[in-house]
Amino acid sequence: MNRGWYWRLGTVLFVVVAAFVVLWPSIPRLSTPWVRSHIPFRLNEGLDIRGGARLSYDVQIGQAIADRRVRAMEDFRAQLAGDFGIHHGEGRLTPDEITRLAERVSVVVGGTNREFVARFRNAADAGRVTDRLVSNRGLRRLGTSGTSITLGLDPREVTALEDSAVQQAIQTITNRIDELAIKETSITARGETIVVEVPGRDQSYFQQIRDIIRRTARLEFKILDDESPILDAVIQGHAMQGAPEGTPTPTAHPLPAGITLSQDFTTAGPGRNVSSPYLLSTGADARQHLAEYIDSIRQFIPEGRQILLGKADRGQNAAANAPESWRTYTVYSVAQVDGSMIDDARVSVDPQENRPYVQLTFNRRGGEVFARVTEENIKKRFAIVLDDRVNSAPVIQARIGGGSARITLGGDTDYRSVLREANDLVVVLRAGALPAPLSEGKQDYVGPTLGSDTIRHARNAMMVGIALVLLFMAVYYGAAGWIANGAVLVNLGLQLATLALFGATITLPGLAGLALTVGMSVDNNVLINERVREEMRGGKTLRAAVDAGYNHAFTAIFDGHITTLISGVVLLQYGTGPVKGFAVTLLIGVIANLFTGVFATRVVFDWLVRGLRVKSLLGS
Amino acid sequence: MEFNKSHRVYDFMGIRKYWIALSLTLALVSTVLLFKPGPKYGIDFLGGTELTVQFDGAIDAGRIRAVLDRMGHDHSEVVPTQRENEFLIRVEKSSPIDAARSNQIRQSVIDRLAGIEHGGTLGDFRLSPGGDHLVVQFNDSTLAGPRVATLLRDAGANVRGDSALQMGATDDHRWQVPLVGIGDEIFRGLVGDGGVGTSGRLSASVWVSPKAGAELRYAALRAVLYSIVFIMIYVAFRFDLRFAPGGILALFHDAVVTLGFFVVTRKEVTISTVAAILTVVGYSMNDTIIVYDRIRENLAKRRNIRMLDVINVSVSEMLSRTILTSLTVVLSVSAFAIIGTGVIRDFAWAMIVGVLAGTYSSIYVAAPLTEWIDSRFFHPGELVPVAAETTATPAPPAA
Repeated sequence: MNRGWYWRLGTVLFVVVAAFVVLWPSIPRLSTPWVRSHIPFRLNEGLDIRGGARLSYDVQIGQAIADRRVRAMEDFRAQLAGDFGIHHGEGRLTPDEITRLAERVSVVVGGTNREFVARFRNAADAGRVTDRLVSNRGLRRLGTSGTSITLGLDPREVTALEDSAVQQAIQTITNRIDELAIKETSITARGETIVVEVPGRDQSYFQQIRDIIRRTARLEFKILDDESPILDAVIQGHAMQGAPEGTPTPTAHPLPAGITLSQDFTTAGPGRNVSSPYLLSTGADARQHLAEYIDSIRQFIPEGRQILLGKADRGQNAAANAPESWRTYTVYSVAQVDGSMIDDARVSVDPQENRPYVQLTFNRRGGEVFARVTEENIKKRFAIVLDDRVNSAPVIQARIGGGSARITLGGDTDYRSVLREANDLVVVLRAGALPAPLSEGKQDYVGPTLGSDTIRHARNAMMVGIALVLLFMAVYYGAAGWIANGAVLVNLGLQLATLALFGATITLPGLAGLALTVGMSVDNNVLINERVREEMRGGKTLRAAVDAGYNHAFTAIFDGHITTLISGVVLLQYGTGPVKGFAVTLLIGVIANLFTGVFATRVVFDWLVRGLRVKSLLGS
Repeated sequence: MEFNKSHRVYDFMGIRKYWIALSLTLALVSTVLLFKPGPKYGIDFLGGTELTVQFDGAIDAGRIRAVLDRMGHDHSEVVPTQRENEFLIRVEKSSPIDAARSNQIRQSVIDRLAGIEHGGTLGDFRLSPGGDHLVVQFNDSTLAGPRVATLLRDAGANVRGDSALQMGATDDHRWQVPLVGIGDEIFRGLVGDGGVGTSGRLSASVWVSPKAGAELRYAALRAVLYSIVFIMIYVAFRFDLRFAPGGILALFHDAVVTLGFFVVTRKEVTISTVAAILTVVGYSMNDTIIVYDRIRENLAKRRNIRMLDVINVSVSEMLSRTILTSLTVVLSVSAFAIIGTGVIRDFAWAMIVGVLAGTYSSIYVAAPLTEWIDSRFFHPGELVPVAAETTATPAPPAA
């Protein structure tokens, strides 16, 4: 045997041993805990095999653009307030500044999701909107009629937003899933579709994941207007003092049954003790009752104010099964602090009340803004608003620097459900808000029992298929058939090892693909063996025939594999989910085939015909 | 053991016109079938909802169907699975609301708004692309989230949760109203009051929105076309012009016949079928190339005989290989075709049909076309006499 042969033998043995090492931890019967903890590679089973859920989402980019427009409107308002001398310096408009600005201009949304209209009260103010001002703000002037100016987002910014919205959504979903500490979840995107694959467990668990993914998680801090005359004015039907021009005088809206007017005794600034009215309702439909009443008076609420709902605190003595209460909060609609200013959120437990709550930590900018806002609003109340629902409204006692804030939860529910609510909230707060709402595209759920049943069938089918092929080859070619069979088994091992190496998942179509590559991989040896037989009929010795057979068969084998390679690459590019798994096995199969079917079998043939000088190998 | 032990050269090409006629018929019939009645697309492509429910008590399909009919799912399919009291239930709807229902709800919302003080008027009203929520927008409205949800619920929409989510600016009055998924709706309808009268568990469920289905259809078509184009380019580059058209025609023939088989047997065309067809395309090309390779080799060796005879010699020489390989491939997937379930079983059948078609088409589609192109364009008018070799053993191949 020459030197080249030893090298080739060494290569084959190395690959076989390496493949075994990679697969070792995935074979429970052969591996020890030591092996499992020191070799990181695993064969992952796809969802269709082990059970789990696959959720697809479409990112509604149109909505992200509309949201961007709203922010542009706020920017624009701030710019105008600066130009009109109403507002100075950086930072957001104060509630008072908003009211003053609203007397000169109203900025409202326009016809499409990327337009808005500024309606000025007089022409001189409208004249201040120069083209430079517009372009500095990244906007386009779309039209002017009288004192109304229509503005739109810059198309380039819209394009950039379209590109980044999906990426951002993936990032947010990934963060949320990470926070939930779910292992082996895959999140992938194609175009505007995001696919989340979650293994195992039951339906209610997936429902929780769906709810967490879908949640917009918009967190805002708004200052309460505890001196607002709105409620009194509306209930009794008289004009409001200090309301901006254009706010209609309310007609009397007596409170319907089930809603009561109540008072908070609180402070609305240093030394200003006030009694602030709010509406309260108790019972199963409390929230809806209040919402309906507020809907009916909404047109009288002055610009810059908002009436929000939240659960009412019923004190510690309330019975656990008492019906829930809801109440109103009158707030300034501008959000002083929002979710983007949060650095971290964690669940803590209040030692006195033994209740879990969420502790927020602001990032640098958030800390600065929060410090400034708390300083300006000492002894006022601020509302923590999550997805348009007031969570709590504590009084600001002093400037809170470098701050953190606390969100209490859950009214009177039991410890465990409060803890769970706190955990879910922390997940969405830490992960950040979604850039755009998601629309579900496809849900796939495979229960664990169905999965295990299907896998049993598929595994059996694969075994039977492979056994049939091996048996056939042995009968047809005798010794050479066994060489081919050995190659097929090594091939199978190599493919599984490659899958484990890349952490790819085995799906059901992937299993069928494995069986199929076994059927196809013997084609190499069939081609070679047939050619060797032909050469021997032409009068060659086995040794010369083996050389010639391998050389002649190779071009056909190579061409054939290239075409399979092409199909595999295309499938990988355009396939989804299980089909992608199939494409991966197909591609790995091509390479493993060439290695075992041509390279490895040649080593054995050469050893037999050169080393052992065997004269007959091919049966018949 | 050995096939074709006598090493005869069979006159494959002598009877080619019958086989070509058969191929043409098969391909034509398959093509016609693809348009009428057309393939039965699976849920992946059409969108829809599919549930597998394991019932706790004994139950028959008729009972389930009756409940589904009552819920308004006319074209439902109820198929027992291999396990006891387990059924696969499939409905066409992927959204709890169809276009007609959506219009009804819209009208009802408009009517109800007229009765609500400061409710405003309805602006935008549409079903989300995924069919999982409604988007409504009001003009001059004062409605808040819980109220919007109630309004839509009263109008007949099966709203999930107790509040609509506001989208965009407050002044825009645009709301997203989540709907109860159709899978949940059906499952609850089946096991709840007025259902089939027994409890059960959801073993599996798939829900595909019509939009996702359409996108997948497009992606699958693109995958097949691209891989055919790339393979075509490779063959044109690797062999000469006489060979490429035959290979491509054979490939189309196999893909069409396999699809035709799916139409005739009413098997569902799913994304896995597309994978199977791509594999068939790969196999067909592989097989054709191996036959071509031998024809090319023999053409170079015997310049003075007719192309037809070269093909006969080549195909005969390759006969045992052809039988062996197609047999092993069929053997390897046959177990899936017999004991496999669902998608895998269909995949296996597609492979079996495709492999048989692919093997046959190399001989009677690809080779004859190559011969015809050769005689028509490369050697017109030449009729080299037959070298009386039809039964002789082939000359020993060169070392």
